[in-house]
Amino acid sequence: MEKHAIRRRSLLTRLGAAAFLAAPVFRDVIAEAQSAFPKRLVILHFPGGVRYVSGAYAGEFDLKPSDHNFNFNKVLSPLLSLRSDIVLLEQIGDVTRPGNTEGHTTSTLLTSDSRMADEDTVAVPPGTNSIDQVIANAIGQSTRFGSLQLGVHTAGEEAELTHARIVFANGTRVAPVNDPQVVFTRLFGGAPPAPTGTSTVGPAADQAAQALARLNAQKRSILDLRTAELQEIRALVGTQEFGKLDEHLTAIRELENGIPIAGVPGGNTGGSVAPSPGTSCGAPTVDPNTDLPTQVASMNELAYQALNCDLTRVVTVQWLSSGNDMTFPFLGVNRSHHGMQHDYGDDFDVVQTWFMSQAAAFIQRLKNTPEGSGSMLDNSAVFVVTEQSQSHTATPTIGFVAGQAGGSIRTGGTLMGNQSSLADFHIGLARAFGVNLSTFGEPQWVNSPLSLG
Amino acid sequence: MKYVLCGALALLLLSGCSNEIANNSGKARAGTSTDPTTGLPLPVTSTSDTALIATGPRPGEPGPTALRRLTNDEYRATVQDLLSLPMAPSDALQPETRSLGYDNFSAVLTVSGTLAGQYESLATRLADQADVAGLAPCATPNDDTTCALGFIQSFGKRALRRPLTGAEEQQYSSIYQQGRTGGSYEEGIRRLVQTFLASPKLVYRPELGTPLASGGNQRSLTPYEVASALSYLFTGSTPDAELLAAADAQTLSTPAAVEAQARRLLASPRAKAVFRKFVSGWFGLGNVSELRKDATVYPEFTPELRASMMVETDRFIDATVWERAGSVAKLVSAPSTFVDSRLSALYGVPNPGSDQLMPVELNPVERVGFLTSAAVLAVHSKAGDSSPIARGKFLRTGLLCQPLPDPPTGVVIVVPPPDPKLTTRERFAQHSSSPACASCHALIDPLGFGLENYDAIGRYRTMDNGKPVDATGMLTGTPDADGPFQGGVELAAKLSSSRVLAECAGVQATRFAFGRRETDADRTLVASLADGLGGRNLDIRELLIALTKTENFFVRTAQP
Repeated sequence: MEKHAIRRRSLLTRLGAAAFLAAPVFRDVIAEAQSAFPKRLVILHFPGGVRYVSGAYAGEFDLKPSDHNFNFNKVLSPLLSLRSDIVLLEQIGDVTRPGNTEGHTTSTLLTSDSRMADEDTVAVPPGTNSIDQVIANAIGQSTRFGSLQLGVHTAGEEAELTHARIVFANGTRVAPVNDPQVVFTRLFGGAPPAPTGTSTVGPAADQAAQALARLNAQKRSILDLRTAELQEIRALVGTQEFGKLDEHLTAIRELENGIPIAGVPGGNTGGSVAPSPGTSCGAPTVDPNTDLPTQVASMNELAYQALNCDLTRVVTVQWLSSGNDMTFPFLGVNRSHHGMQHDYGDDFDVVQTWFMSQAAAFIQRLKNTPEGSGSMLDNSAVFVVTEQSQSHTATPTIGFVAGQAGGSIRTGGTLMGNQSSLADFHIGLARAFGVNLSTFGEPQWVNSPLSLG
Repeated sequence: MKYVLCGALALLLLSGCSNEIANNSGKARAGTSTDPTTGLPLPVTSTSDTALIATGPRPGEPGPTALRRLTNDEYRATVQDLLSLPMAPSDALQPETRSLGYDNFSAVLTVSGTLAGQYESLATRLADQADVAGLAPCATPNDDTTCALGFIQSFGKRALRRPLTGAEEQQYSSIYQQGRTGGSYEEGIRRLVQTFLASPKLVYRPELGTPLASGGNQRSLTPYEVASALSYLFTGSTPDAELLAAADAQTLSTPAAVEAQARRLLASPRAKAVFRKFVSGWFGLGNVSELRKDATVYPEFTPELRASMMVETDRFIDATVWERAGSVAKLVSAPSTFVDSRLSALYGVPNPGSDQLMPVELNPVERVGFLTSAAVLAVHSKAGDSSPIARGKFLRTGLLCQPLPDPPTGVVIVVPPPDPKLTTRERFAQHSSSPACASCHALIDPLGFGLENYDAIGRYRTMDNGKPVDATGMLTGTPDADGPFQGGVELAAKLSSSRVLAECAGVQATRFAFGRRETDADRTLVASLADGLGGRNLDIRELLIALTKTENFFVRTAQP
């Protein structure tokens, strides 16, 4: 498929050799030293695109390299200190949306399937997977949760099917969970702590342990019956219902993985390595306030700890749906986000820059977590992306990847496409996780897969 | 790149403009045909849906077999009825994805990891709190196994909405034994309750049927499936003893028997909530609780006002269904509504001096019926302005049930910036000047402009940005009501006297009843139903009952 070389990286000319060499760690070293650590994928979706053609924010995310100041001094300014950990997408686009008119469509972003852009498409073709799910199917099998879908205020807008969904698993749309408390319960509150071989002895402790073991055995039997019932139903229905039942089967399996096994330290985490003592893994506190900054911070922390505790290796986070009517009084911006997407004024820049600050906070959290000789970020890829560029056009795709996925992704510059599609990028992303795809989505959108390495 | 000024059209509209170009764009979409009399696009929903799965029902065939997950409200009501709880459980359940306004579309209702965990938590909590002595009395404590089996059979039949098979009885008996061994009868029963309440066989409602003797790919729904379909349609909950007994006796196979049950269920106290759900789904009100407005423009739009709009909506629907003979015409033309103090200020009617809703006559010049209610107007608006496009789209697709064609290729949206010197209408009028956009906007704007007398929170206005409002509209695409109109009151009068509204009610009833998009066959069917039910004087209760007497209620097309 890779028919011709892609002018990918103009890194040295952009940053200068000094900037490149100033990058904290040499990649080959990382790759070798950190192969023992799991690779993780995070996709952060923020709504509404950014202004890049004109005005004070021109220059970042521009199509024309000559205009590319690459100084991270505008909408990307919160990410300045992370510059060497980031690779920006250039001349890559979501070409699946005809006519560039379906600006609010999020459902093609990770699927590269034009049929997902259609509001009429209630039924999804069986087997449709978004790229995060393709990768999760490969790297998410050994953790308790194959993947997690988190969201902040993504509900309640029109056209949920197309404006507020990015993840498709085996032909079903997966809705992000918007309530941090619900996510917390799922991740950390589901099962009582397992007996961890502590020195508590005596009849009372024995009795408690026995009662717990009994309770857990009962739970497991019930979940086994759920599985049997789902398989019984699956044998009766048409193939269009398989995705639905498979999602449910996966859910039951994850619940079963959450039941502690007596005598196994750390309980049953589905085969993954329990976090070493002394790591920062732990249940975060969830602030019950529902304002946007609190919710975003809560979801950031839950996503971080889900990865840090190796409960999952694939997380998507959606900040608002595309056509949302959210206002931002905490930034002094009282117009609705959707309204601002119409005129791309200074207030819009303020809000989008704030979203980048939240992405920066998350990425920094990974970077601050040591792993081997590097950090968690070195072993992760955080794909930050929005569904439109400016004025509701579907191309070019505004986005970047932070982190090197264990040495598989080269950061500190731009990933230059050559009239490339997001499918070309997704194939490259999957390959960075060891998933060797030859095509992805609808085949007509694949031109020449990009290499992120 | 060609930049075309297209207003906010595609921002609001996924299925946008001219239909001819769509097939050149790489979109795998079934062809769009045009109604010879109206010139409007014919519905393409059935073909566009089924083209994707390539195996769907052809026009003229009954709908596909389906595995329908209960909605959260249905699940809560079901659990309440099974355990005879005073209130439906309010435990958190992950919200449904809505489709076409409804929360019960089978294709998008799934059980996520989160929801599965929530089902388990709810089931465990309720099982632990259950009144075992009341639920599963055992007169023969020395033979608790017999008692447990009796409970499995009786409770299981109610939970799974059909008798259990022998294999199922064994499966559930072994769950009982696990609680009983080393525990107690009571513990065993609790584990059974826990198991039943989150069983996939309870959570999903199959409409799979059995093969017809005549062969082919059509399947006849079982009496239990019919009983469930009836019960969830009219009560939003699990079948009662009488329905299950009718299924046992095989007496649900004739339209007359089904109709008799439907009429019985219509009198159930739960039917009220069902019609609220139907009509609010139809009018796109499912998400009113999440509605936000720009506080700098609309400081009056408080959570309290929003809550008042929601209770007014429910009360208005109740009045229409139960006090105005379910009249679809009166739904859009009733001269009165119900207001509390907050709403009276918004509507400019006398303050009832109460937080409770009181009936009030509307100013007949300004307002009439559901279409001009604050909730409907506010939902089909944007945060800071009235959005004639969103309203026009709703009127065209929601009240006329006419789909809009796909957008043209090569159009890049350049949105006119807010201009303090122009009215909303003047700003949005600009896109109509571009031929690329005009084809579609001709179907939308003339409807939406007619509601320009109402701002984004539904307040009546005669001035917009300091200039007089022009609320002249044009209704097109109807067989009997086309023509110009002035404002929402005249539009409501036109709609209420047109058969297009009655037919659209039928299409919407199909969506709600079957939890899916309508097919061409459904459209033909509901048009004849609407005629048979008196056309313009249609009673939406009779519409749902009529649907239960059609083949669609008994037969499904098997899916491979």
